[in-house]
Amino acid sequence: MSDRRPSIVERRPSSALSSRRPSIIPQLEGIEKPNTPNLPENMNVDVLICGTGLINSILAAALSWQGTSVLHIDSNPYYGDDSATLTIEQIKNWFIGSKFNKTGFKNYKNIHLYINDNDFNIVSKDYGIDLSPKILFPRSSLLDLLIKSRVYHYLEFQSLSNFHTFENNNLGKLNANKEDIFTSNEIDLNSKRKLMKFLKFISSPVIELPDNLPKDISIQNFLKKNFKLDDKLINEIIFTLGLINNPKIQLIDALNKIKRYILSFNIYGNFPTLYSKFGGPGEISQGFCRSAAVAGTIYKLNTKLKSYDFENKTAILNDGSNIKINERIISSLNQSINKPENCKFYEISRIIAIVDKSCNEWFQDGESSSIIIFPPNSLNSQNEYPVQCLIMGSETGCCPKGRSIWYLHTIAPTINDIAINDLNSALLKLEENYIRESTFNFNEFNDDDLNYYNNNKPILTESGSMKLSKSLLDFKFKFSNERINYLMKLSFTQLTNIDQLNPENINGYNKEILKTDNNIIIVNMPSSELSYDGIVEEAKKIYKEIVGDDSDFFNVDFEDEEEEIEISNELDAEIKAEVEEIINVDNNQTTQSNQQSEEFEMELES
Amino acid sequence: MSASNQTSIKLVLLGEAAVGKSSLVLRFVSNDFQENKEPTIGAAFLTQKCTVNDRTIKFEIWDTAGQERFANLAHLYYRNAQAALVVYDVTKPASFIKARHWMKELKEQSTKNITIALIGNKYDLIMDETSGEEIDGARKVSIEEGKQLADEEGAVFFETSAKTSYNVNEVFMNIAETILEKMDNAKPDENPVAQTQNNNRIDLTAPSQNNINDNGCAC
Repeated sequence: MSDRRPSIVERRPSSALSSRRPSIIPQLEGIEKPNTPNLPENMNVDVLICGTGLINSILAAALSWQGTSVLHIDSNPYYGDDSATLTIEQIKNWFIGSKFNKTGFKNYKNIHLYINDNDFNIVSKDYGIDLSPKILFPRSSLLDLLIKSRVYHYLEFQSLSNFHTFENNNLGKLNANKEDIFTSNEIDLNSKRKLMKFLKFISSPVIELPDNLPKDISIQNFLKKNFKLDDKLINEIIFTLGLINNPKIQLIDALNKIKRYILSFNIYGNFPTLYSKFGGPGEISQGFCRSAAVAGTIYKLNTKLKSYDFENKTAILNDGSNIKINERIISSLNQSINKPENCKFYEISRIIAIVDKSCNEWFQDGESSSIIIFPPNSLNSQNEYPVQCLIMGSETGCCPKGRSIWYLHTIAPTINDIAINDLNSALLKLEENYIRESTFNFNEFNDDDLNYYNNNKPILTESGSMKLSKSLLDFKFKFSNERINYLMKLSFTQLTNIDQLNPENINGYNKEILKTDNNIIIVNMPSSELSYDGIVEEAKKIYKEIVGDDSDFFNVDFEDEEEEIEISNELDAEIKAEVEEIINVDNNQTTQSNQQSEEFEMELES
Repeated sequence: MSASNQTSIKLVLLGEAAVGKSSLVLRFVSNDFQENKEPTIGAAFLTQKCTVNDRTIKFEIWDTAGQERFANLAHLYYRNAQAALVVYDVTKPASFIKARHWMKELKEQSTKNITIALIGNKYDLIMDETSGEEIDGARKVSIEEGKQLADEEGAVFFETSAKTSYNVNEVFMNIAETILEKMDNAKPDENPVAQTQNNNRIDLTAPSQNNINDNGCAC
């Protein structure tokens, strides 16, 4: 035996193996299931949060970075609660849970699920299905918060450019970017002038309404009287660009929503909105939960609140643990043990369909999603409220190639099946239009009718939309064997405690704080707003209720600041050249289009 | 996109609480070790570059942030991870059972091409510094069993000590080499790195640098 320490090489497992004597250590093989530890005994937290939906998750992160100790639980084995992104298997469980009104699935009704597992070999985890899909505006409180909290590090964002409006049995795309308006062949000069006047009005830093405006004038009448826009354009502006789902919205709120779209261009690029890859609110919830965990929040899924003794401030969970609550309990409505006081329920109806088509025809080149809006009275069901659709293709990371997910929703009442008729009517139109677009035989047409992209892919109009050009409108749709098959179709009505039809509830939220009789704060269910607008404000409202002030909401001095700066400097140097190249190209383009627009304005003035 | 010689790799840590996951990273990233380190809070992720021949791998290392404690790691954590360290403590049998569980979990949750290293940490606790021999009875998980689990799952196996830095750099170098090798041998559409890097990805921090003429409406 020598006293020499073994060299690194000798200490490598591979060499150690051959020289070592047989192990006397008991075999661990066969012991498969590890024990999940329990929460510590006599645990004591400032705030207990039940449900890992988006608002709750933002709250968990904000509170723990502020120094509050947080225990965050969810009755389900996944993150996201009422805004989760689910696999097909999880959708099946969700369906059963909702049917039986279990904790975690309390606010759904009229649920129907169809899954075609026989014809399609569905791999459950290839799908990410959002219970309440949302898109992100570049200038929005959530985007600011994603950056400030650094949660964007955990996520990937992609662009969404195509906003289609359904009218006269067609899908059209409005060009709301100034440059596009000038080059569009579809809008006549007179309309271009009116549209430009409106865009100028809406783009001003503060919207100034004319003095002599009739009281309570609707946005529809305002656009008609003051800008002489035609009905088709008015519908596109209000419902598609504004993403307004309540036709009774107040004028100034409507204008702000339209402005939100117009001002979104050229912030991250020539597109108005973004979405998070692999899933919407469910994915972003996970990001905020991770941030909360980094700040010290303790997570335990598959766990729910069983009872709360408000006098002694003691919570009992279903895993048997006894938690002392120093301050408050916050719970989603889905996971609450009791209903809040004076709570009424309102409805949002949704259809989620997975189809065996890529739907690339509806996406802008290089993108994988689009918005399609059915304005009021555009459907056979004579819909009073618009139907909003979000189409997600395979590059969103939410479904495999050759498939897509269609999300439709409306705030129309469910009485007399109004809502479901509107949704099904819209679904049928989507089918018809898609088949017409995708089975078009371009060889049957003259070159005059077609335009070509750079890659020689033919399109029917200048704008890149699927709308038929005038000379093709006479084309009779031939019977085709092509049809759309559904892998999954889920329809349900989601309840919310805020009246979505009341125009005062902007983004489907209000200023009130809901509480149960034992003083648990209730977080509202997702609203009908298709963007993330209103979410951060909801989180701040509750944060303020607990902390007393929201001035330090995510006012964080990150521990790893130095490290990050060092890294980003390195990164800067690397991408700077690339970015500069892109900016240069952009500048050239902008200069050109500016010239173009100046010329045009001069033309108008003369 | 320029043909840079640098490849970014997302590496995730897995393993029972207190097996020394963060300590391993701390040793690798800043060649430092803290006795009685508090459970992990505070760091979202750390980065460290590693040069193999003339090529650079930039590790973006994700720590569990304590979310592993009650087996509650989010999908987001595994998403697009190209490498994983599954760590156990050579003196704690329960942590090895947990490691086996994490190996399975990785199979279900992660990308197919992921490079995995199984790590038996705290090697210093079973080694007698002066004799260079193992302290009798200190080791609770045999090398053979670790090696066997690694082989079954197609992972590489190391025993390490974050405290003495034994084998720590070797782990990361081995992963870097493996990934570069996989990249070289992959067909264009199977490239483990290119697959997860998407040119439609938008950098949310870009406008703050670019938009100087922004009119400042941040409503």
